[in-house]
Amino acid sequence: MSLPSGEFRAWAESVGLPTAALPLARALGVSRSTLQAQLLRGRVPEAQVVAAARVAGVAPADALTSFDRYADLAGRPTAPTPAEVLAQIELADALVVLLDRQAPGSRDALAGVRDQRDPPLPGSVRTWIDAVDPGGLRATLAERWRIAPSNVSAAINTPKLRPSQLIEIALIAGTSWTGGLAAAGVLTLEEAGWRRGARSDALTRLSDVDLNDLVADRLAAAQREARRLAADTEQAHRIQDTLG
Amino acid sequence: MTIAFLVVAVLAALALTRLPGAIRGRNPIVVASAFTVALAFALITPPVYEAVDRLLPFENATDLLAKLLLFTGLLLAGTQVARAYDAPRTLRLVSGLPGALVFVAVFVVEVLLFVAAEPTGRAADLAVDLDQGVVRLYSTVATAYPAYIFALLLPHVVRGIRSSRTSARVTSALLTAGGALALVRFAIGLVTLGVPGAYPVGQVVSGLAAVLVAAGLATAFFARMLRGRAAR
Repeated sequence: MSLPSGEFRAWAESVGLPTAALPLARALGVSRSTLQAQLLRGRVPEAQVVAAARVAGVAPADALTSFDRYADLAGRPTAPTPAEVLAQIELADALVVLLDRQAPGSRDALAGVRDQRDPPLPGSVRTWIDAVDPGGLRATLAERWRIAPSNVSAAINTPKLRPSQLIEIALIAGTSWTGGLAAAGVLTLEEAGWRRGARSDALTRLSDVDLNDLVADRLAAAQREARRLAADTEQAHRIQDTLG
Repeated sequence: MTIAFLVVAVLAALALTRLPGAIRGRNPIVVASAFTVALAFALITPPVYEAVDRLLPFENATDLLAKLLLFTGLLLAGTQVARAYDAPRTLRLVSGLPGALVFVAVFVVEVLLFVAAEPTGRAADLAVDLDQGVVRLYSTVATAYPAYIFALLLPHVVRGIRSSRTSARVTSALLTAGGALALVRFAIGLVTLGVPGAYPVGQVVSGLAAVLVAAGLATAFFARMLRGRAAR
């Protein structure tokens, strides 16, 4: 769920952050009452630890594994699998590479026009889960968390998964434990152990077949989203016209 | 008391913003419903009630009139909400033959209870005589019709809260809140059957429900105005 405040204070001291609430809040750039509430309740969210680690100049992944709860993860590899890298590629970036294969030079020509965006992106958690799913993952999660499968899907699509749940999913899927945190934007890609340019290199190396598959997949997702927006707009207009 | 006047003021203001459009033939049903409900709430504020009741042929006839207006307003609003959310089955249950039968049945029961009651003075909802069981029943049955309409509409309206369009989301959320309160009001009505002390709470809930629903309809109205302006 989150991390005990006693451990958080001890950790903060060990990395040279102030341990009193007011100076610590000031250092982290959060309001004193927020931090104090977290400390008093004894539950410090993982995101707060990540923020504190950034301020202290410590690797956020190492900061998380110095807590008892995540101690098992220390030293585990964090490099993403190829599928995880592809999961964070958006339609436009895949299209640029596709275009470059049909019309060489397009990628360079578009270099300044389109920059790759980093997670969190719309659907980035969902694409990550689809990439690492060993089969029946959503059903497994529903069972473990004792919630309805539809609620699991809703939590994935919204996305409303807590960092601890993202780590749990990564461990179930047997992939790098930072993958979910990267997809959700809790950690930056580099903090999660990604090489700089991992996505561009992966795109370049893709076979034509796999590239077409990736584009088709992203296009299908874009079409689903466009259809949903169109249906919502139509409903909104109908409501306005009938009741307004 | 003050709350009752505030409710009337809000309902009347929201109804009046629609008058120009309605004169040009824009959604007359919703506007008519806004005016009938506002009038119904105005009639049950004590000074208006006293004044109107003196003009009518028998004592407390104003209350029957207010209830008829309220039911009619709900019937009209319910019809349009069912249309807006594209719910033909619900539309039939609100304003088709089954809906009309429920409307008439509830009102006939109200008239019979009104006749059976022995009011000791002029008061909206015969509220000065809540010690009589039949008066409490009269008051509670009146809350069953709004509960019936909104129980039918709620499943459709709730779904709109997940829309990606802000106007649909806000309208749906307000209608859902108002509809849920209509159901709460009926529950309080059932409590009132045994505990007359719950009655004032119920009246506040009624007013709040009406304001929320009116605000939901107003959101749809302003959203349509904004859309029309953007298109021009």
